[in-house]
Amino acid sequence: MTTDREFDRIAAAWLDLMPDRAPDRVVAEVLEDVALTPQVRRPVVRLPQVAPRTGRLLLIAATVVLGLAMIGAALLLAGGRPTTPLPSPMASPAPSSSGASDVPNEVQHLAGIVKPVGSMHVPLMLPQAVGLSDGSLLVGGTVMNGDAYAPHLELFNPATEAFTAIPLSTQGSTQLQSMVKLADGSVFLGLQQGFQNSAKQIALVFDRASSSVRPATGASQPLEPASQRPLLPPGAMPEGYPPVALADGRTLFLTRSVDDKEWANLYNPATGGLRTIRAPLIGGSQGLAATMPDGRILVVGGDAAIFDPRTETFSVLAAPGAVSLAFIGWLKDGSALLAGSESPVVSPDRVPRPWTFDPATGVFTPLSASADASTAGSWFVLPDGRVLMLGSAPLDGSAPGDARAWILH
Amino acid sequence: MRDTVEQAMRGDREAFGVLVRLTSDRMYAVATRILRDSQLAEDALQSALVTAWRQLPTLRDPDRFEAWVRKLVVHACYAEARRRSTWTANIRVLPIDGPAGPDEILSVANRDALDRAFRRLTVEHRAVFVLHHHVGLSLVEIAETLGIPAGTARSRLHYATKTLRAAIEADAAPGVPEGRMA
Repeated sequence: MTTDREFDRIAAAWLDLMPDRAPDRVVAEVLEDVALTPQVRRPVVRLPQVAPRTGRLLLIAATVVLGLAMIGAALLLAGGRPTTPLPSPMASPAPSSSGASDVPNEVQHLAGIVKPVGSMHVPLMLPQAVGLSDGSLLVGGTVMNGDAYAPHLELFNPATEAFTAIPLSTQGSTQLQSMVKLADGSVFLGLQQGFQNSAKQIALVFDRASSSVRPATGASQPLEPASQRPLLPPGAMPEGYPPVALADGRTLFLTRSVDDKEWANLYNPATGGLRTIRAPLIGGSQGLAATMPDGRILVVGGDAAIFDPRTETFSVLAAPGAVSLAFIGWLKDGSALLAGSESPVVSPDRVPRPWTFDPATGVFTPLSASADASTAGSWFVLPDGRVLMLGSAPLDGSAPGDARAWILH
Repeated sequence: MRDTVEQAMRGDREAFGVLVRLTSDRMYAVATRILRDSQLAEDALQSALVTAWRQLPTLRDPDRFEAWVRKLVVHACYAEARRRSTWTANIRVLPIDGPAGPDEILSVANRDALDRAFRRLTVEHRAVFVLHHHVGLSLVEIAETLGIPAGTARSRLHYATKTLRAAIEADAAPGVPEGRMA
């Protein structure tokens, strides 16, 4: 009979027998992979939450705002628009996905011709956009000035194809994290002030009538961050692909390791359960997943697949190649428009390239690309059906970025 | 180290290379002990470190870099274990360095018994056992690392310990050769 102490010594001695040094080859391979792998920033915006006594009204207001946003989105969906995940100020959009914004996802027939339009006043990191009721587009993002971030808003007029900067004053280093169109036509802006554990959340509202920004709560003081309750269930480990809300209320989390993605998780909020299912290998440095008009999920990275929520199975497709996708939108004929750039390995100049995808045949067809629009990393559908392509700035401030914009006709 | 982590968080690949060289041995040690397979451990380490690079801007506290990477390594071990459905059939013999131990507390029989019993544990039980006995984490720290309740960490450690201890004692009992050559 061994005592606890004896067992601990035996166990420690046994564990000490195994090797302690990582092979140099593995370290070298890691550094090679890192050289080809972009960092991702998936900022998390939590609902503002304040101290119980002073914050109850604010909490109620935030809840009402959320409810209105969801009702508005539900009305839009009931009006026959294609199914898209509901926007929420609690969930920040994917870094370069325009799917989380309120921009209509119906695109007119496109010839694949790219034409330059007026430039933004500054290049933006992670640009987002919300379509406004008057047909204009509110574009927002973050700019880096030295080591500090600052939010920036621009209004794009599709008629004149010109941008107008919106005055926005914040203190300290602040990043724009989410934009959600509210039922009254205004736009909720979620911002994070500061870094890491000292970060605070700020809620602002853009008012179209006055083209001005005001605090969402009537208070100018930053709100306390919400509790540390994770937005995602433990074990979901989402990477690279944004979560996809299924029509039945479940959420699909696509996970992947270094350059493949073999597993997916289905989270059911009704039961609180998270279940792992098999998924095909889907490579690519960045991908997107979007709900198809028939409720199935199109997943595109380096490869592509369709996930059927009813059978919980994936069907692998022949994909256009290793791409960093920025946009998936649906054409009126039921086919999809995909846009992004080929991976730097395949195409060092990273020319943005649009494709169409026919769900009936599973075939991707390339449209023409424009070398001139080589920095267009964000794509948004304008209310008139054309597609606005925005230049952007790198997240780490390593390059000045590009404030130019183009329209895909 | 904090400065280096912050540089890497801003996209400095050279700084991240420094961090990889600083931590890779300790992380590899954890992975080999959990997976008991050098090839799987190398894959898990590589996956975790590249994931760490990609996700680094989301790290909340630069001072917690190593604990955060350790968490990624453990999750990568889970993934590697799941990837190999025939895992137990693919066990490779790990190199053994040197004698059993300075005080000879670990006999060859004990080593064999522990090897066999450890392979029967789930990867989740292995992780808790390794983090406690090799890394030296407390149950609270293990729970934090794995994102599980402390009670779950305690029960997993209890089960793993009970299993391994029973294996040693069964091996030591007279007349119970458990399939070994006499």
